[in-house]
Amino acid sequence: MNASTTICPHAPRLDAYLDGDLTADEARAFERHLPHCPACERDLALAGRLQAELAALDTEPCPDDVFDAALARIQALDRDRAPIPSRRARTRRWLVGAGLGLAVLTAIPFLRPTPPERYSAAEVAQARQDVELAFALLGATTRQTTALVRDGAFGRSASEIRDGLALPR
Amino acid sequence: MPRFLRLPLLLLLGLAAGTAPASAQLDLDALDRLFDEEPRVEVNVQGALLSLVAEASREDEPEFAEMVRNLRGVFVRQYTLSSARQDLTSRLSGLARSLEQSGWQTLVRVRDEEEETFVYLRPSGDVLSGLVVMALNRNDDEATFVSIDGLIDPAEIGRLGSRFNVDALESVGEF
Repeated sequence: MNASTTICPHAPRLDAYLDGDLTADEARAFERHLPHCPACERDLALAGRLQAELAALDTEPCPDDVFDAALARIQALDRDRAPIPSRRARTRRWLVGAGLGLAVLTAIPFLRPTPPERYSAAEVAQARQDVELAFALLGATTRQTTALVRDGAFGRSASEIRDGLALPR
Repeated sequence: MPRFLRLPLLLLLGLAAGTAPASAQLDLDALDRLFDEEPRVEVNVQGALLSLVAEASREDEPEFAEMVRNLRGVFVRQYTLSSARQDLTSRLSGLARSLEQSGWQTLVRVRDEEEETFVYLRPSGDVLSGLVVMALNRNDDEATFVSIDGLIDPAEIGRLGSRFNVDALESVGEF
């Protein structure tokens, strides 16, 4: 690589100059620099010759079926492509999905049919004894409480206890 | 919350509330933590088993069966009083306060040197919807807790309590 190579600052304007896209002042500045820039003069001559030779070529009209086929293909691609949902629509869709999933997970334990509990005769008999035990303890407690109160130490009469607990007199 | 989720969630909450099991009212786990030993007596009868007890008692004990039919749960814990951890009385007072804060009414609170008895009721119109008895007996070295959950007719509880006397405990068997 030649360490002393420099790029002309007017070089990027060459194509625009050829296409007539520069302003009048820009075109005059480009033309003024050409005698002092062999590289731009050479590139301009080459680009100009190329442009002239292309213009001299015969033009061929594009067949209608080519145009129609291309248009049909473009329209088919547009139909197949799903519209990109907006961010709000995507968020709403996510929330709905999450909510439905949560509802299903929550409902599963309650919607599963609960098998009826089955107890053996021995289990029922034991349970009956347990309940009778509970009532026996209640009876013992109330009798003891009534006795304590009857002794008169606590200000609540035995009749109040009896009435409250419906104990026989 | 999306509008369409509200109704299903409400239905699920209602289902959960309706299928909730009976509650002992008295915090039985808290009771267990007050003692160093396992309870000598433990009763947990509720739900379908309680219904079966009522059905099994219908012919020979119709009054008892009628009462049990209206109950949701029967729970008993009896501990050795000497196995109680420190500050048993103050801890029990805390449990009693919890009941009172939940709408329970104190029927009896009796204390003397040998015994302490607390009876709590939860009124529901003309009947009771819960009964809790806590009894400490130093002579017998017993701490007894009975919790009845369900509709209780006070007249029936007294009659049945007298019918099932303490001597019946000896025939129940080993626990």
